[in-house]
Amino acid sequence: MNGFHVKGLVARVLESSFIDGPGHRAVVFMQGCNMRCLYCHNPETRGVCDSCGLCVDVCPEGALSRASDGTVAWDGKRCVSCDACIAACPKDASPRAGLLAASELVSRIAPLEPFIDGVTFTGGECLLQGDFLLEAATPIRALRSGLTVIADTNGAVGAMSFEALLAGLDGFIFDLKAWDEGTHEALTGLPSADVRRNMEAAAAAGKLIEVRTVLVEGVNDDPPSVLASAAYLAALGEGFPWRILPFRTQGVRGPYAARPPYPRSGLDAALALARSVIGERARGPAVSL
Amino acid sequence: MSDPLSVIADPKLEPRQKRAALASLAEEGLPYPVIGKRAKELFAAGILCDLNEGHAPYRPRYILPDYAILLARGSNYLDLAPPRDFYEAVNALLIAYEHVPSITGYPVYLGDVDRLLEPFVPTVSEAERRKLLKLFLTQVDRCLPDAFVHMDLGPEETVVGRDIIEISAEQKRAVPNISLRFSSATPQDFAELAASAALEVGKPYFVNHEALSADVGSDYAVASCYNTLRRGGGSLTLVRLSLKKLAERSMGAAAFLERDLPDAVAALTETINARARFVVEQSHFFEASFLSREGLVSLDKFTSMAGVFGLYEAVEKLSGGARLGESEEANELGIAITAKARELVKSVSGAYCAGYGGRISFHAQSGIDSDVDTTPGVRIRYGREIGLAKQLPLEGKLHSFFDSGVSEIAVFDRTAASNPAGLVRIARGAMQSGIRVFSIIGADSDMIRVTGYLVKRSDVEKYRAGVNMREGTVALGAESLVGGRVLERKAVSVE
Repeated sequence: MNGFHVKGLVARVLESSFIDGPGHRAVVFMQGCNMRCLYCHNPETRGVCDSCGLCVDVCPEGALSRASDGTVAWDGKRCVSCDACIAACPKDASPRAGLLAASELVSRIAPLEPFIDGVTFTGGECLLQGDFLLEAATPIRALRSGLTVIADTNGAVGAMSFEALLAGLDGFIFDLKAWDEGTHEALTGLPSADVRRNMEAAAAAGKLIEVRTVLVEGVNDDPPSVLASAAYLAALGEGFPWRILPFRTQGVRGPYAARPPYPRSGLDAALALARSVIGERARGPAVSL
Repeated sequence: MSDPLSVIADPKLEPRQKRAALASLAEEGLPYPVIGKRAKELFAAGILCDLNEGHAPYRPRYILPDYAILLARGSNYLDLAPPRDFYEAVNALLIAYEHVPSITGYPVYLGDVDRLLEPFVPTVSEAERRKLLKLFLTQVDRCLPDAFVHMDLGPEETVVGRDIIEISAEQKRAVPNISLRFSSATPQDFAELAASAALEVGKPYFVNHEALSADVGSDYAVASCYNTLRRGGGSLTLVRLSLKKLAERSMGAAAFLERDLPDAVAALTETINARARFVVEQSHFFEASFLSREGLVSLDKFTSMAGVFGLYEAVEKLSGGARLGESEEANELGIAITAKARELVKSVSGAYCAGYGGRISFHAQSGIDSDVDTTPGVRIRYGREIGLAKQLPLEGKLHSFFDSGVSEIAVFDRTAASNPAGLVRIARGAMQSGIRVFSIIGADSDMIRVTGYLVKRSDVEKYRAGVNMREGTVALGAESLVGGRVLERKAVSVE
């Protein structure tokens, strides 16, 4: 260590999750994302606060104020989680996100240690704050032998960044958001080349834990795409499942907010197609909806 | 019920239930064992309560026979030779259960059934074994219809133990209650099977094998709700003290610890000893019962139980509103009260308590159907949970004071079903935190853990609709769900 410490912009810490990787895990939501997925269900984690202050005026509980340095201060004791600030934010940010040193994050995780199998970083796009993740991972793993630190990622980071993360983290949950390149860009705002390359590297290192795809009716759910994705994932290796999830409207903003939820029949058909290629590794939601 | 005819005429009771009620009436016609004026006052005020054990106890409240002796030697009284195969072993146990009394009239301990039956596994095919265990569990459910009937398994994995957990998850019945001794000797995949079953049907309990082996001894077993007592022994009686009601009459925390609690525990232990002497000296149980004559139980492994409950409300009252789990001050007071109560119980010589070094054992009592707004034992009030990572360490500290039963319940939402490894991690964390008996259950399970036993929601609905239910515990459960706010237990929050 060279003595340089980076802080992480953390949206929130969830103490208990059964659906974000192996075992029972704490989940750290990092603020800020490089994709703008049309179906994003936590869009308030995409942007970064620029202290414009619009949220201060709409808070009905007086939980937000201007700090002396001009930033927006959030009072967790007053906040009732009504989300009025999030609705008012033009930047897809949240005044509740805060900068944490890795040591501060670790001290929030430490009391959870006996009850968790590890920590999952998600977001937002957690790998955008890769230096913070790498700095936090070592002391988190030191809490107990066997504790793992994994990332739930969109995978769209440069090869150099990913190489360091691949070495420093224990596993990755990737999204394969669309098979067709044009669809991928239209749906997320970014090309898929980085995603695929990094996913392949994670698989080759034996660190690909799960791949997820959210099906959007008439967008990325055509049978050729499902079959091609399944064949691609089958060729990547055997150690991970492909979880196929139906689009849901919860939290969604913009044009997709008006879409109906993905139909059960479509999900079953896509699962059947996928299973024709990779068998039981194709799975539906962890929780039946 | 005040007179025999109203019992006899009750259209909701089966003849067997009527017989039990009539026997209680006969007992109530006798004088109570001799206790002092102070104890009588505290009973009248509802601060002390003997859980309707009766005026003239003629058998120990909880009996934990060592069935291994029956299987090794057979029984003269029951005219049984030592079993030679799985069929005979199952048959011998089912016969013995009919002859094991307790406060409920049904056995509260069925034995360490995995270890008892495992030696007979090679005598039958797998299909026969599964069929026999299904019939065994069905007969237990139909003939011993009481959710305090309790079976123990583990800590090692056995063929029989795995079968029983799998069959119980399929059968989805409240009876029997099941405990899994849980330790580093319990294999991960066996523990995951148990966790999945628990989420679905509320059992087995995860029992802290290392801590209880140290607290009670290597021959501890779990009976009734979650009572940890010695195998081959049991408890002569259980009398409980409402910390809530005692606190309501107290001048404050200092007075409570220095005056009120010593006064009440003195009356509590006096009553316990009077009742214990009656069982042993007046009812002559240990001379009359073949269990004693043939060595399945022995008086020198018995104790009695002093129970406390309503710690949450006592702390709230004595601290002027601070709540257990929500302030350091409240937590410290809760620990101080529990420690003091234990110290007071242990300071008295216990009559016929040789199994616990001549002392009465200390128990976190879980409440009964008539309790209203009183939190069981030393738990956090239902609906005021503080998150596992805070609650289990706090409760673990409180659990360490009890040597004859204390438990904690965690309710999980359906996301946990896909992840039994995560539940096992939490159970391991619970053990590490000092939790003695840990109940995992799913928020959407048909099974509800009422204080310590299980009832089915669907059975409670039938009972409320006026259907005569086989299990007496359904009626108890139906009342407790209202008075005890059982359904307000929050699921571990998962988004």
